Amino acid sequence: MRKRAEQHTWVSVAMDTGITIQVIADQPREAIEPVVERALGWFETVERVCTRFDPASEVMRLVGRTGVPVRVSQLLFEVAAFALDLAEQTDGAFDPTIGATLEQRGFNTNYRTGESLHTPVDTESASFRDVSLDRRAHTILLRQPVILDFNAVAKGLAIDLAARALGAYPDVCVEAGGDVYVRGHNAAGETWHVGIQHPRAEGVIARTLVLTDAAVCTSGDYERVGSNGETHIVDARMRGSPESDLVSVTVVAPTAMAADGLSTAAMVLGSARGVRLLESQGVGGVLIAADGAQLTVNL
Amino acid sequence: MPSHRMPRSLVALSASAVAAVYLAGYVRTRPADTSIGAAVAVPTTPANTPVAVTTAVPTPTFAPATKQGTTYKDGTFTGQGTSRRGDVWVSVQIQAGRIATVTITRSTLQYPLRDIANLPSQVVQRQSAQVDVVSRATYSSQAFSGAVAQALANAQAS
Repeated sequence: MRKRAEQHTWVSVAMDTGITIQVIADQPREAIEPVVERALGWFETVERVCTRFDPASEVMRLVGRTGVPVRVSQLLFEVAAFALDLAEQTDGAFDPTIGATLEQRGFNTNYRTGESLHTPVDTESASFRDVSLDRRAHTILLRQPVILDFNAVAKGLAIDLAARALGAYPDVCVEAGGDVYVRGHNAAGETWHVGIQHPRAEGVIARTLVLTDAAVCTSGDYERVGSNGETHIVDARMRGSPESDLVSVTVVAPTAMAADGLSTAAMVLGSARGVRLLESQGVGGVLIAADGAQLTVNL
Repeated sequence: MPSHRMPRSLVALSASAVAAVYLAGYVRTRPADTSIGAAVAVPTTPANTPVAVTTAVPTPTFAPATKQGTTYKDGTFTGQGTSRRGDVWVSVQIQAGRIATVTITRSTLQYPLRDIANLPSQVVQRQSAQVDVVSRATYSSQAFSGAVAQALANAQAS
């Protein structure tokens, strides 16, 4: 007889957020723990490479080497390649070079130390077109001193890497700051239920998605507010809060990296172009407008 | 349609990125201290304190160590604090009877931890779980304060 599967839960902290990993298995917790530790290790690795809150991180060290192609790790290269592709496909509505703008808008606190950062770079003129990659040489070249912000894709990547590290387990849920990847079934043996937080009513679920083997990431204007009250969603073309008619975008995709990036991009683009982007990429989405109206794509 | 170009699939690109990064493996070069926290030395000049902090609001009765003369056992003590929006776990290190470091080790908060990034150093400075309630992060502050209070209670228990 098959032993009854149990739900094991681990919580941790990385990338400025809490992380929860659930594994449903008929093994004791101690047997699963080393694998979970490896999964959690990915969050630390991605954070260490991609954080703009540490002047010594790999991404921040690029700023000091403007004008020179710098050979980078596989991780940083892939994150940059994905972010630049997303930038190109949205004509720069999504743009990873907004790091300095975010810093000036008050998103400048290292959550581990409480220290605030003030990196001396010009925020106005640069765009993603000032960054070039060379896949063969594995280099990144900044033509202007820009601060790259990979927040919109790095957490998704970390979730995907963690889920992959847990590949031996068929029933898994990896959640980081509201972004989630689910595989298999929940502890009740059902398909996973993922709720979308109502963007204007705290604690209210706007919609519940029933799905599996998928990532669900939400970008909203309500989640993160800087010390001067502005949101973390920035339309790079205006270097300000976007004139988007949306208050939240949830994307369902096979990877959290794609769901994370596309939800942020659609949030900036607004409903009409956002829906087109999600449709053209073949992913699912729930877009919620300021008046509460929900638009659904491929779900 | 202005363009008939098929967009490149970002899903496919992300899937190959994940595979490539995973295969490259991760390097454990992180220094020993992987967790969030503040030692005594953390500089927190009020001038550049980034989060809005309201004036001190007394935390409920569980804050044990506001008086001078409260002594703690040396060692490392953990505590968990709860709130309606998630829990926080802390590790408090006591050296020579004083709070030396406070580290947030785990969180299920729905909010970013940077909201309460200044609180560990406040505990060290004040030698107390009575931290300021951070505006816009009241639940996070409450959970943090509760966690420190519990750890300090453990440090007091004989």
